Amino acid sequence: MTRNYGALETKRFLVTPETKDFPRNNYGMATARGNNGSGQRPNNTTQNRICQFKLVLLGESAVGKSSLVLRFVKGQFHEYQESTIGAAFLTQTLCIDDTTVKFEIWDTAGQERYHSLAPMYYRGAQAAIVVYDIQNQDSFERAKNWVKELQRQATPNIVIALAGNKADLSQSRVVEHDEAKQYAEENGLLFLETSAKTAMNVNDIFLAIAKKLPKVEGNNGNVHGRRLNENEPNRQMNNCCK
Amino acid sequence: MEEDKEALLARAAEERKRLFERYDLGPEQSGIDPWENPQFEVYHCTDKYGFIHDTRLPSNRTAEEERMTRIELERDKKWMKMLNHWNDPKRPNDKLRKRVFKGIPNKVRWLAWKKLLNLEDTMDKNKGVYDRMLEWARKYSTEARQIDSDVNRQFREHTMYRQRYGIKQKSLFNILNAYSVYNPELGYCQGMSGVAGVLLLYMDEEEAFWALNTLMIDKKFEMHGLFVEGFPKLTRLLEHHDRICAKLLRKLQQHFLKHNVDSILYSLKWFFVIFVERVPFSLSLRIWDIYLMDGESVVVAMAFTILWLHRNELLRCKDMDTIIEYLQVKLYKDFGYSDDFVTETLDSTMRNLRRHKLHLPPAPKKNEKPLRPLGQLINEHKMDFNKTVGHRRIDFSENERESFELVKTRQETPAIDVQSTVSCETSEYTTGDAYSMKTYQSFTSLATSPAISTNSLYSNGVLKNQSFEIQYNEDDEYKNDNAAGNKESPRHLTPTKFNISHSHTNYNHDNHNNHNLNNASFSASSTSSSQNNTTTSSHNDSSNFKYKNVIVIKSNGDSEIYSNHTNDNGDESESEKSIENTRL
Repeated sequence: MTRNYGALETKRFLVTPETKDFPRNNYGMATARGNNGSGQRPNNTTQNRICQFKLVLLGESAVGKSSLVLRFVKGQFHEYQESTIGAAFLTQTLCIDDTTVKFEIWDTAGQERYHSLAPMYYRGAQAAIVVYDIQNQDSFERAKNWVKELQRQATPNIVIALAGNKADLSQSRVVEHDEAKQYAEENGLLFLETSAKTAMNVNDIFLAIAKKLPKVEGNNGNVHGRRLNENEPNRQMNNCCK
Repeated sequence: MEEDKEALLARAAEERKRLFERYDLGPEQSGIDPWENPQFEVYHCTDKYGFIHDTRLPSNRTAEEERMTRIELERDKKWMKMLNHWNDPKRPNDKLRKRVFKGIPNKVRWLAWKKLLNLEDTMDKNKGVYDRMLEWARKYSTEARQIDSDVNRQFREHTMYRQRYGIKQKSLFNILNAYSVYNPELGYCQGMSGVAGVLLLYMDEEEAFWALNTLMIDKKFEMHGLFVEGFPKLTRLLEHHDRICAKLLRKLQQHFLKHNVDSILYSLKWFFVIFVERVPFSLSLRIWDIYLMDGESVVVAMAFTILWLHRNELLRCKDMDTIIEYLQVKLYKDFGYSDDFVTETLDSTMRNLRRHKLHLPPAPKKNEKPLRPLGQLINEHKMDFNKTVGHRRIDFSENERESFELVKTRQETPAIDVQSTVSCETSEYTTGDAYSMKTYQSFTSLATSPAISTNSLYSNGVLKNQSFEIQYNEDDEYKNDNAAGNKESPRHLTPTKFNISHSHTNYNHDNHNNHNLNNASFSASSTSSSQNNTTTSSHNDSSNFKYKNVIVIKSNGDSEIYSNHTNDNGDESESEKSIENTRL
């Protein structure tokens, strides 16, 4: 089962000194605020509720968790996204019909050693994206273990999505689409193959999660996933540390 | 003699001919070195530490930057002198200390770091060991895959790490693998590439290996326990950090608890990579300077200092994501205070924590140190098969299970009802909290603009000097965040001394009884300078200067920190003056 996938991984990050695309800072300031702060939402005519959800990304090291988040939150892609130490936190907002869904995203470190810190990040999460690399069978097996752990340890009814990332490199595919799809169906997971690099299916997977999340009042009575009325979030956002 | 002359003449003629020919051939000829054409935009975007930015850095230097360069040139000389007499028993220790806090000049940093870590000695005692470890690593390293994927992502915006498989990438890969064999209990943990990555910016491969080893196992640093399975030292540091906050930053801690912000969510990189990528790089180097001299008490104090300096802004963050974003992103882009001011504050924080006996965390647990001797040959037959083939373990080890449970209980601690706790506050900082509670309420009840809260400062008599027109422009601050190349200390900041003189003035207004002669004479000069500065700064509202430094004295406990602080700076600015005098 084991495969040495180091070489494949490195190919992906191959960069020569001439590369024009200089690196950027990892995260942007404007994300959450830009979308929420001033109330200028795309369809603000019918805005009447805001739901906030905690979402966690889990998966083997270097499968592209941080890149998926970066693509979703900032629309960017860095060939050599820094390795995440511990976890990083970002937010992004989506609009579905009359509801604004705000994701609080915890992007975790993939190395095995950080596994023992994981509950800190997935506890209380209403949604999770478990990521694997389609070129790497080990990472798929690892994803299955994450799913098991989430079903056992995390919030009941957590919405789990499985993302087969690096789909742009399908010429070196190892995990078949159908195999993963079947596994996802058996376990009640959302499933999409994604590419943070080309942006394929990235927004879609978050959107699919947002649609599946219960947007009813109360939401388990949790701190997160609460429904806020129209005025409250504005007051909150405008006050904060600008 | 004659022949030599002829040869030289022939050479000159040959050279002249060749040069003219090249211009005749024009731009299409082969053999032009790439650097000869100005395509290397990268040089315009690279800062003094070697990091490449998105956009060109400004070509003009500010007066402040030029002043700093001049000071640094003077310091270079002093440092070289000091480094040459490092082992002189008569070398005064406090001078070194003072100079390290002022910042080791970048040019001599590589020398100074080696001395601070006593690398020459270590390497003398371990001749040949590194090469042996590297050889073993080639045969036995089980971490090569993970290290490779991390090397490929470490400091890639730095010129030295830019080229894939370039010389520094190779060194980083080598030392991390060699170290995982040298210290197999620790192996490799994500984050170590950051530590080694910083060391390699100022050292060669073997030096960085031993420096890494010193940081991992030396009593002063003991990072082994931070990175080893189960992170035993991390939990100990977090508990200590929480303890300090409970005593000295109680209100902020309550605020964090209310919004479910556990210290583990924001402080990991502070502890694991000593603030790299959580504060601007120039500042993290300054912290590293002090860390390499004083060890882990610096990390403890700096974690507190960050929260302390930014407590008002953090209290204004009204939900988890703004708090975390402030600590993880905003402070990295722009710390909001000059590096000098931060290290001065760190210095006084360290002394203050020592007074409270909080400068060091409790003694390490047994499992935080390597139990087996380092650098022993690995018995191939005893090696873990799964590790060797790169399979993950399914079960937790005992250490990991412990931290897993600990992490879970941390999360289950119920969020405290902040309002009620604060109102029956009994700590020694009650005055301060009562004051900040007023500000806090003025935020929540009155308005969205922090400017209004400053009115309450005036009415509370906290700020007496009416010439301080405090305006806080939210938009301005954001403009500044988006400015390119913010890794160096922000240009817009008025020099540190300005801030300090303000706080000093306030302090004297509020504490007439505490004057001593030194203070008085210093404050006399600083008051006048602060008035000058006030006028300038009211013109400069758009230049984004933040006035938070001004509001310094808020309680007995806190002013205690800063009364010290101002004294030091009195001395500090004197010595700076002397530098300038010698120059002129």
